[in-house]
Amino acid sequence: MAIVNPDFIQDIREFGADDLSACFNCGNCTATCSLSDQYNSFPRKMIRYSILGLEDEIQASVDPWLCYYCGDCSSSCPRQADPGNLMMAVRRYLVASYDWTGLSKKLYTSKVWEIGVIGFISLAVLFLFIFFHGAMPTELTSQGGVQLNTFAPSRIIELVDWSVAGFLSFFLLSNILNMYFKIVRTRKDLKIPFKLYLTEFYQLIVHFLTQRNFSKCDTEKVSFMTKVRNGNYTYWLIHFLLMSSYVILFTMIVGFLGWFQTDIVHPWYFPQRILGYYSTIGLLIGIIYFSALRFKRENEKSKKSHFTDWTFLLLLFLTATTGILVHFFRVNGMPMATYYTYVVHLMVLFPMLIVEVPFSKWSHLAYRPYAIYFSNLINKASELAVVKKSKS
Amino acid sequence: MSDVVFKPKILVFSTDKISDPGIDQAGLRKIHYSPAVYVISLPCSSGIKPKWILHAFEKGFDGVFIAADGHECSYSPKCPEHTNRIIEESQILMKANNINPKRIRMAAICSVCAEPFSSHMENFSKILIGLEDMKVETGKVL
Amino acid sequence: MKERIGVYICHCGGNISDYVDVDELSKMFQEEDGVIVSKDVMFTCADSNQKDMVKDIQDHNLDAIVVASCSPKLHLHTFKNVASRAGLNPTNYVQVNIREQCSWPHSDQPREATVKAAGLIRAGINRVSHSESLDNIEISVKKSVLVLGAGVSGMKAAIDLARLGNEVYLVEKDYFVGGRIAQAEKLFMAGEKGTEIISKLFGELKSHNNITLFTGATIEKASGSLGNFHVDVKIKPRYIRGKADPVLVQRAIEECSVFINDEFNFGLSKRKAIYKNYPEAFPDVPVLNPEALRNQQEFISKYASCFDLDQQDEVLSLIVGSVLVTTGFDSYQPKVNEYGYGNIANVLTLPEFNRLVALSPDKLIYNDKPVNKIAFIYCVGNREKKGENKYCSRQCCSAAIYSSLELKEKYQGIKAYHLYRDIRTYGKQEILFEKSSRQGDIYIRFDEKEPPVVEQVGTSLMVKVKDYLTYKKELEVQADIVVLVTGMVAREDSQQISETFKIPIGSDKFFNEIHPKLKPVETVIKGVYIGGACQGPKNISESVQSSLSAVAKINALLKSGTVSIDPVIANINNDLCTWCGKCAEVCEYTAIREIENGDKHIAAVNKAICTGCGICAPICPVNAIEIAQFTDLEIESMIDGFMSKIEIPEQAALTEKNEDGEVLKMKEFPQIWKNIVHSINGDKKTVLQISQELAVDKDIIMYHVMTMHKYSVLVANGMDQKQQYYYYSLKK
Repeated sequence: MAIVNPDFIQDIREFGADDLSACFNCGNCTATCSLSDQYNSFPRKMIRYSILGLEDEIQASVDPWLCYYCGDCSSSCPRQADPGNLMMAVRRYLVASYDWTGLSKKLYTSKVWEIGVIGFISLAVLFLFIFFHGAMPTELTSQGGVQLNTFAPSRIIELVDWSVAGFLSFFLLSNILNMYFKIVRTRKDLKIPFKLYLTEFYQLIVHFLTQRNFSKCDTEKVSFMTKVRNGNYTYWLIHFLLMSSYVILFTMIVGFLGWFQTDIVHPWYFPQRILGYYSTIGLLIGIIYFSALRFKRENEKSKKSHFTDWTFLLLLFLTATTGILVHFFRVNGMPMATYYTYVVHLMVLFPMLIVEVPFSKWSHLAYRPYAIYFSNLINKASELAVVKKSKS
Repeated sequence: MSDVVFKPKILVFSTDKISDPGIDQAGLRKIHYSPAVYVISLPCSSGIKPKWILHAFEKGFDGVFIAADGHECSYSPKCPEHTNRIIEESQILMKANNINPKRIRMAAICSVCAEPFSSHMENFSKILIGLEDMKVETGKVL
Repeated sequence: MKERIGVYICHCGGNISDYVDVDELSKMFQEEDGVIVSKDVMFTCADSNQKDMVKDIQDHNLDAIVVASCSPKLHLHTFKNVASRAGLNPTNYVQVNIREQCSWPHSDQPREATVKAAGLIRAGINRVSHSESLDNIEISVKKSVLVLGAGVSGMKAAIDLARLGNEVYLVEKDYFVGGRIAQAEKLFMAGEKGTEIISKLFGELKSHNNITLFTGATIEKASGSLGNFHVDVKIKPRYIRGKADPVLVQRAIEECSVFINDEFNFGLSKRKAIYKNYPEAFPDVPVLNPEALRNQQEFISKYASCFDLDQQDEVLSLIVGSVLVTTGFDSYQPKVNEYGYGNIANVLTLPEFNRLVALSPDKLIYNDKPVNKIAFIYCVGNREKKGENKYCSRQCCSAAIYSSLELKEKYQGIKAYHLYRDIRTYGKQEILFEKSSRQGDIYIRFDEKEPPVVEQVGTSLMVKVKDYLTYKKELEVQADIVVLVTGMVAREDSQQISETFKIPIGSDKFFNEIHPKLKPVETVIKGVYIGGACQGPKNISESVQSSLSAVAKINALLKSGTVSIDPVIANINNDLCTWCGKCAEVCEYTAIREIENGDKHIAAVNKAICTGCGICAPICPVNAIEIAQFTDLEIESMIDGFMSKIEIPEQAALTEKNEDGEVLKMKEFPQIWKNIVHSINGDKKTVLQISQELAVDKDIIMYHVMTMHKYSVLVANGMDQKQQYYYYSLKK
């Protein structure tokens, strides 16, 4: 039994949903979706749940994470109810519902909160620098670089990084645990053998690294080369570029700052520099590509942008450009410029990490592979149950 | 043409306003049925005289089919009762004249019942072919 | 016996001649006894052939004709008129259907089709040879109409009948006119007020001197037939004196302290024992309930100049030419505990709920509790697979959705749930559904097998429903009021009206028309018409449309003062009849009565009433009844015709199978086609040119050229300079 809640439709609208009331349940969206299958049927189900306000059912669903928003459903909707956009809105709603602090919901539904929190963290970083920054030597190293580690010793920043990482991991992991309880443990009817948890784990890694389900959205029956030429893989490629750049930078900055942030000017072929260049270029290409799509609004998937989509892109863009500037100024021996840019860089980097990673858009990096993992667990377990039943 | 298949001759009584348009519809849509089916259209199936039915059998018809209006009849809500009574009376007459009472049939045919009509004809033909006494009586080759 | 018969067999372009060897048949029937003329014709219905037929009938002095072409539903009247034009009685013409019932269904077996066609035509010849010349029956009619029921359909019909110069008697059972629409506060789509429409119509009613309105009136009995119905109308008293001072009456109403149940508001409120349905109700005279005021002697005597409790029922006898029944419908009344109705206080029907809304101007409060959440349950008492009412009432979806839209406009914070089976907001009303859906009304679909369950939980209601739109998930809907969207059912008193006027009732218990498409307002009783929702569920516009089409039919019927009816009626053989009464028993129309004929009693048929259905014929134990045009001789001769031996040379039968009729396979073209082909002869010509050259009317040429084009004998070849006519040339 589920109680119908007519007020929910207003809530989901705040997360960016559109005119879903227009839906007349034809089911074209689900029929046209190439990812919807016998186990996970969407998006119509999510529309129906949203209209009826069945929050428990929505929170127990993995479907929004399985959608890669190709937009086929929205373009084939006879009522312009925009089911694809609804899936994105529900995804935001889910991020908020996994977050037990409630901050995520505030960030998603209120611009004041979003800007306030970002501003607060920025200012905190600024004040920390004002009070605790190191000396600002103007003389250069023997290689002609700036002594950045004197101004901001990587050891100390690294400590801050690690505590931030610990903070982020705590929230993100507890949210994932929350997600696990909502999705898997609500299936009281299913017994999931422990072995499955282990055998299915590789899926999580594969999907995290490749996002290969993007390819399932592509149902065109033409040869691989034609698809390459037609740009069928561009979106996936750039998304991959952006994702990998982000992960590399994140790992280097948060995990190995001592190695990454040095005063030595390494030759270009050193891994720090190669990885750094790859990632910054990857980030920039990604940001420009996705921003352009969102500006042009030609594809179904880029037609509608929630304000949090823009803040994520903006923070990422600022982080990347200030990072490049820091590098440029340091290598070219411009000490004061390096120091100030460095402060600004961290003023965007920290809010970006703290707001986006556990509470907002970035978290889909973690939730999506987990959702696929959970959904596989459930599907395999129900298959086993069916086999068992038929045997007995 | 060496056509030796026995096609039972069926006389159909239809009604002007409902079942005859239904039979027309079968033609309009080129739904085939046996060409040994002949139709007489009347205002209402309650007006068929058993005497006519007997006459048809005497003249060599193998079966009589009444395409009635059923409850759609615009003349009388009791139309199905009357038609049933006529069939019962006819069957008594038929028995008295050594005619198998199974050789008369009735079904309601609506004004768009093209397919039902053709399948009724097919079924009725099969039933008539299957009747033991028919073979003996008519001596026709199957 | 007719012995100078003309037989015309139609090619129908190729529709018939592609499968049936009409050529051979026409030759065969030339040899037939009694047949003078036998022809095969490209199109029997073509003007040119009709002219030929008239000429043949006159030249050869034919006494009967048989046309073997398409279904009689198409051209029966065409050839009846041909016969009339030639001075032949139309009853001496027989149509044989060799297209719909021969060439088309047997297009797979051309030889058998030809044999069957021969049998059919011979049956037609046999039948026509036994045909008798019958004249139409003429009846004189009175130019007056009884309109039964003064709802919107009846009022509108009465006004238009009066405007057309007919005397109209409008009889209403209630004390006030307007019927059901008075109870609807606003009407979809435009949102007019029902009561305003009634006021407007009543104003028009009063402006016509030839309308007499009876309220509180019912039909006591009716007899007679088309043109002369004798109707007794019983009028209940209002107990208010005819010449009472309205001011004094008003004062009496104000002073009256006895309250009775307000039926107009379904008991949602009380009204005084001297009342009008609603303040502006017409006629503007209140009604007094004598039962309720029995113990108020003082009050009664105080206003003795207004009240007259001794008034009695009055019966008036009327003679009318025609009757229009517009008695409307009843709203389905749910059974006790159907969705909790009657047991749970806050379960109402839609009409009741609409009254509640009409009575609540600012806030919607019911049973002292504010109402915010409303659950509508659709198809109550309708579309029952196993129950009695199998039909859909088709206006209730729109009505319920319109109510929910109006609610949201009238009150604040209303949430509406629609528990439906299928939404049928057909036509323009789809806009209502669109609007309601887009503004966030929640639609939940259930199946008849698993209907919603309404339960009282604390002070509010809980509706449990399996939603077929959400994978049959069990949902719980919290509601303050559950509204049962009830359909229309036949009126309780429709059985009685049916018995009075002999109107057939269908399995849905509504009155039956003759034919839903072609005779939608006529009943089998000549002169009795039906309009509005007494015939089946209709919305207001559809009701008025049907009653107005009945007005047109009635006016056409009465206009000339006489009526001509088909001679297909039962005839009694006076020599055989010994009066057993069985025929009179089965006649649905009381058309048969007993009369004295010399020394014995026999049956006699009222020609004006008899419909020629034939039910009486087989029941007669002495076979004394025959239906004109369906006599024993005619039917039995047809059977003989079917079975007569037919010799068709095998090689002559067409063997090609041609389902599509792509290529015309004619042995020869009709003469005019040959002339046209000859005239064009390798050149290209317009219809005008051919017409001048052949000296034939251009419409006839146009008709043939179009047909030749259709059968690919000719092809279009550009236009003339004025762009008026196509050039045609021969197809290579």
